Amino acid sequence: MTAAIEAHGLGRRFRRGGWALRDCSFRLPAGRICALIGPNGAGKSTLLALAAGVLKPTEGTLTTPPREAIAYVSQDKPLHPQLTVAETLRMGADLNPGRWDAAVAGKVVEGGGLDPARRVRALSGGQRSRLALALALGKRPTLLLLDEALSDVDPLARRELMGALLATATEDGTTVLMSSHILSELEDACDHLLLIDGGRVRLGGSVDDLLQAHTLVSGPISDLAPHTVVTARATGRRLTALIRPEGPVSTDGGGWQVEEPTLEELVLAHLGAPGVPALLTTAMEAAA
Amino acid sequence: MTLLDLRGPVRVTIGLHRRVLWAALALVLLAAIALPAGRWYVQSLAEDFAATGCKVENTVPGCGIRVRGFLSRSLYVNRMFHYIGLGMGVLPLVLGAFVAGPLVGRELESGTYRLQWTQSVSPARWLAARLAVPAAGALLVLPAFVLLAAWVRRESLDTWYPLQWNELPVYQLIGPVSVSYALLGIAVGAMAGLLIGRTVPAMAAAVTMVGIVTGALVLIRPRLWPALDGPSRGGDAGIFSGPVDLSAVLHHPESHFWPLQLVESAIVLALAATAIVAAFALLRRRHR
Repeated sequence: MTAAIEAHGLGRRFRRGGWALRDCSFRLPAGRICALIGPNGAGKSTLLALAAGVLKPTEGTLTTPPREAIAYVSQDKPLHPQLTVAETLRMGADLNPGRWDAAVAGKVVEGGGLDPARRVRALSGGQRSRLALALALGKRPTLLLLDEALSDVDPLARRELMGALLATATEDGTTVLMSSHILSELEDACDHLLLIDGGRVRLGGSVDDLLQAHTLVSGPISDLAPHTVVTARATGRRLTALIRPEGPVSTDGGGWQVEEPTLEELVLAHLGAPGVPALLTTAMEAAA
Repeated sequence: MTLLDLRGPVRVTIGLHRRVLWAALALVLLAAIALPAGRWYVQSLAEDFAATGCKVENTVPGCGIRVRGFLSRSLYVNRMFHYIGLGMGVLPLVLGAFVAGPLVGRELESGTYRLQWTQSVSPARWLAARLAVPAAGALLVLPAFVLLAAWVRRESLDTWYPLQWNELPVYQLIGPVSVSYALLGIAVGAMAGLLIGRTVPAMAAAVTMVGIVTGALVLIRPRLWPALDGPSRGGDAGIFSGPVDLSAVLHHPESHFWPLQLVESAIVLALAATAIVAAFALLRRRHR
């Protein structure tokens, strides 16, 4: 499986010291739709900007497709305010000769009823997001990077845009890496997950593999060794714990219940337990 | 990087700044019309004046009004040439401010550079396109304008108010230094814009830097080529006719026009090249 993104020891330092992202190694296989999840300030935007080629890594290496094949919608959606909607799309055509798909871009813009003669400075936040997404999809990228791209779009339009995005991604086999701090926004669209916190990768892999690698157990308080405990909470005499089973979990000890956690439980448990070692499933593990 | 690669980014740059570019072109055209128009006006004044039978050298009673009218109108044209020359002197500052501010600094400040860079334009191509537009304008328009001004100056020599080659506003209008300083303004503007990354401070810095370099070179201008002993024959105390060395009276004959212009142009172009190299190096160091 070829990788769309491969990072080795990737790090980026803030200009005033401190690390936005550090020691980040993972690979994202081509054609996957991956959610980039993390709390505010986790380093999501930094990672996406590095992948987009807008920032330069302070250390480590990052392999991505060439610039022509990457589209990126950043959080603040920079657009030229003095251009009209139509002129902005023409700019996309001018800058992407041989790649630009006017029909795809036009459809995204028309879906929101944007007047082509309207200047960008007169657009609302949601309309600007739509235009930025039209520019991104119009160049038919093989890697699409979205940084909270749909956060200021109304719920109805978000469904429509997500649909357009997934349709384009499916048709072209586009790899998508999209960030949000709200998991539910992305949960049903993504097949992979990359969780980062404090500038480091915490979890990465296909959603199914990640869920399979963890187990939610509850039962009488006892030693959970040899399993890796992510979080454990005692309520009365019972213990509820999210573990990474190392070998079969014995349920015959009496009263043990075993269930598969939800993705949300998995994410929240890891965010609450920064000391737990990171887990990358084989799908997203960087080649040594 | 070939010129073909720059077609799209250049078209976008022109589209973004077309109002300023149109205004600049209109100003240049206006000046280009004013110069020969002034020359023909002076010619027709002289013919009309000759037809009256009056002579300036021998102002007989009854001719006073006509002589005054002829002289003051001729002087207007002479002044106009000087003002256009001063405009040429200010041009590098204006170009520097334009490149540092709207062309580069504002893009970095508002984040729109990220839009370009993720629309398949690499940072180096982005900067090259931003510089190509004003540089091409200067290289296409200014030489023609300089030739026109030089011709108008030569034609003024047999009028009552001849334009001397060594007057400051005239000197910078009729030779290659005008083009060199314009390119210096563009180069320094690019460096200031990239270094500072904010519109107004970058503009101020560019104007200051170009102003200091221009001022310093104007001061050492008489020393750029060995001057001849003795005072100038014409007795005109222009900038090159005065004492170059305080202990001895030196002067530059008109035959020194080309050596002086070429030496100064070479210095200015070397400075401009240094600024361009620094700008691209800065871009490469900060961004990939």
